[in-house]
Amino acid sequence: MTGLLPDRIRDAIANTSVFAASKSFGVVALSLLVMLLLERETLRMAGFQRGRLLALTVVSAPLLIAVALTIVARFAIVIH
Amino acid sequence: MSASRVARGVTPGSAAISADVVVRHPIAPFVCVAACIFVQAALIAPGDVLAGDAADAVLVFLLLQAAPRPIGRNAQFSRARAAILALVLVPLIRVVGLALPLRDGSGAAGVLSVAILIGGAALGLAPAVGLSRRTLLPTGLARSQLPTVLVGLVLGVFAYLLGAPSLWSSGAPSPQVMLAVLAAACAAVVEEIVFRGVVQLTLQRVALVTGMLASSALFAATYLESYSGPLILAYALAGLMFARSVARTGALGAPVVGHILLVLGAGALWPTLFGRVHPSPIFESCSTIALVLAVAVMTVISIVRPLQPPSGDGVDLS
Repeated sequence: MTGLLPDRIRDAIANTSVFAASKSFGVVALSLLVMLLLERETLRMAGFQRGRLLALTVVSAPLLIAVALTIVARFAIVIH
Repeated sequence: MSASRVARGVTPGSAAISADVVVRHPIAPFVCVAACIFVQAALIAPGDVLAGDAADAVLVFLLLQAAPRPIGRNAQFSRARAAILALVLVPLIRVVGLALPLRDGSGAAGVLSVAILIGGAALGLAPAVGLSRRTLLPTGLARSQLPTVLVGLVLGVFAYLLGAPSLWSSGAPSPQVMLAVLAAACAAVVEEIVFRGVVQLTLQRVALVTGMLASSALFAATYLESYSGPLILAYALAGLMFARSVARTGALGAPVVGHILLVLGAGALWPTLFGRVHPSPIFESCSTIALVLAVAVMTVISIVRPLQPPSGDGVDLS
């Protein structure tokens, strides 16, 4: 029993295929990731906001890994 | 938008400009805490997981917009900004957990993945909210902190008696058992780093007692998605006790050890030694009443006997 991945979330994941999950939860994560990366690039090009860039990078990193793993999982299912 | 405006800390978009004014008020971080708890309680816990996921993603984005770089040297503004930025981690846990392709993996592997990703994010975010990473890493354990460790041990026995789920299914092979124990321990460490470390320490800077209680409420809210009321209360009580320890010492060592003893005791040690228990409805009802009283008493004690804030770690919030 943990607050990081409680029963309700585990059930939601277990009852959904990788394809269905990537079309629902995956799209939410991907949309957020794209928005954060766009904002990060805008700020980076302006050349300021070091602390804010750090925050955006830190928040984007786990989302990027999750999205990348989802893409790999979908790809693996397709070629399998 | 001119480059000079961006340089002053105003991000593109009117939301950021209005947030810049709103965040100057010390109540702003607590409104954000309430929003995080509302999403957990009103959407995810009743089963609207996708709606909750979307709401959490919007919260992550809005909290990041509401924490622009401070203008000038307003200390209260800097503290509020840091607290709001720290709160980003809470909805991020749900968004990352749901986005990972965990269907075919074991539950333990999923917990371990989320723990590593969120733990890394928490440690990465620490400098941006004015905390040193060394503050967040549990190091030593003083003798005065032993009661906090004992609280974890006792509540672990209590959670076991209340029927806390086992960390592994019966007949699981040794590697699966080891992975489950490792995942549970890592999750406990990361939860302490996030809730008692990053969130509580930043909220305490805005309002000591209220910050401590708000971080404890937020911690308890993440367990609302579990199915057992008494277990949620047991974790809420543990959260309050651990929060008081951090408020008193500023160190995470004892809460981390206490939390590990709680989860490993309830889900691994006591079930292995004494077998599974199925609590009777009478025991559950009595436990619920006792736990509600204990949480209420701890909350009142926290309010009437405020603790000394932990000393700063010398990191400039601006």
